[in-house]
Amino acid sequence: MKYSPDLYILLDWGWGQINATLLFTWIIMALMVGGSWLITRHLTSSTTISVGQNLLEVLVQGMVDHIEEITHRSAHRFLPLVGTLFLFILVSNILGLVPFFQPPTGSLSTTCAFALLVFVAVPAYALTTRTLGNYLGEYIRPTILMLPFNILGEISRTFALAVRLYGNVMSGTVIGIVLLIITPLFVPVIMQALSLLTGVIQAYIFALLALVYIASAMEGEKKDEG
Amino acid sequence: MSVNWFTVAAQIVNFLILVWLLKKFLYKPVLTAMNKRQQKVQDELKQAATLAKSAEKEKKQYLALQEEAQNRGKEELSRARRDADNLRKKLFQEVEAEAEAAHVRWQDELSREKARFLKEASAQVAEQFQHLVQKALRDLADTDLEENMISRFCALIAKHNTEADFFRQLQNPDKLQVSTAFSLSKSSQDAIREVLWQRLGVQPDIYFRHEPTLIAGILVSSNDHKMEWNIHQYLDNFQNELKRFLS
Repeated sequence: MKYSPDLYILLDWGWGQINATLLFTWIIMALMVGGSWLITRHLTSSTTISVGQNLLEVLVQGMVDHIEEITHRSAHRFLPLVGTLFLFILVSNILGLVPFFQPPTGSLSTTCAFALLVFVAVPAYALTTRTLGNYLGEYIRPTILMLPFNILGEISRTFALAVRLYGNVMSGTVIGIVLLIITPLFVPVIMQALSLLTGVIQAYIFALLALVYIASAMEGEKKDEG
Repeated sequence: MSVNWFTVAAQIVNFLILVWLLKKFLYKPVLTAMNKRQQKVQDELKQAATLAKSAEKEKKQYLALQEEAQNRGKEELSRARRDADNLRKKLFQEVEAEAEAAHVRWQDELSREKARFLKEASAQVAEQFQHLVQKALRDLADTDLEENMISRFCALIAKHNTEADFFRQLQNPDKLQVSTAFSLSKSSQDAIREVLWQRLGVQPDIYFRHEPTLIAGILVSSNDHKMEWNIHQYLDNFQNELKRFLS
């Protein structure tokens, strides 16, 4: 039993491999982009809109409201990163219910990639509102003795971000496979429903934590001003 | 649990591409559409507010016009009432004046009727009285009224203190006319002629004329002067008494 889609190698060039993670990622990307294109090509600003447009507007407006509620800033510069993280993880986890579909979020490589992106995004966003010295100064506050602990905390929370998502999704997949082997009737369905719930929650948690990290890094500006 | 760093790098690239694609095909179009709709709704709300203001303004204008029309209507009604009242008063005054004039006319007519009635009644009474007296004298005393009247007339004329003014005014008349209500006999005419000549001192021509309209009596006239000797004085007294009785 292969518990990670990374292990399904489709092409191998020696220096690199095309595995199931990448394949399903591309499928998800195609579905998301294709679906968005199909719906948004007929967008209208009138008060009578299609079901698809209504769905997308509810989704996007919900994310915008949530981001603005947490950051107290305009959501437009956070929406592409945080919104895409949420949507990709959500779609990936939901599609995990499809037989033979291996969610890319069940791959530690994918979750690490996302965690690394957040890790880079945090100072990148912080530097849009703060100076480099001011931002780095956070690591030696209240004393320089805190520097290793702050660095360790930064790394560990990134690692936790990756492992949390990976662990939840991977465990759901593994439990589903195990239950199919042990009790092929009924019980796997319940577990799949639970894993769906877990997947939605994990998507929300991952995006929320990323947003909180970014927002808290940007908040230093207000402290300086105060 | 292992990490494939090639996959990590590929996923980072994949994710960044996905971010760009979703930004292009999802976030931007949807947010643009929502912003446009929001702007449109705001514009429509502004337009609605403007229209509401305009409607409120027009409502105020309409109410002002309505109030003005009502006031004008009240004024017109009040003026019409005043005019009607004035016309009524005028018509009433005209009717009053007309009634007053009719009353005056009626009073005049009544007076005339009364006068005519009195005159006719007096004449009738005098005539009847004359006939009655004549008949009574003839039946009871075997005397003639006309003859007695002539005798009395002659006797009075013979006295110089009777009708002095009349005879003074005559001053030598050429002729005299003697009118009586009854026909005079030759002897009566001669008696009258004789006494008149004596009284005048001259002898003008004297003509006798039978005048039935005279009621018992004698009328002597010459040019513009005349002398009546009849029962008119009694009739006047009778008329006054009758008037007093009728009123």
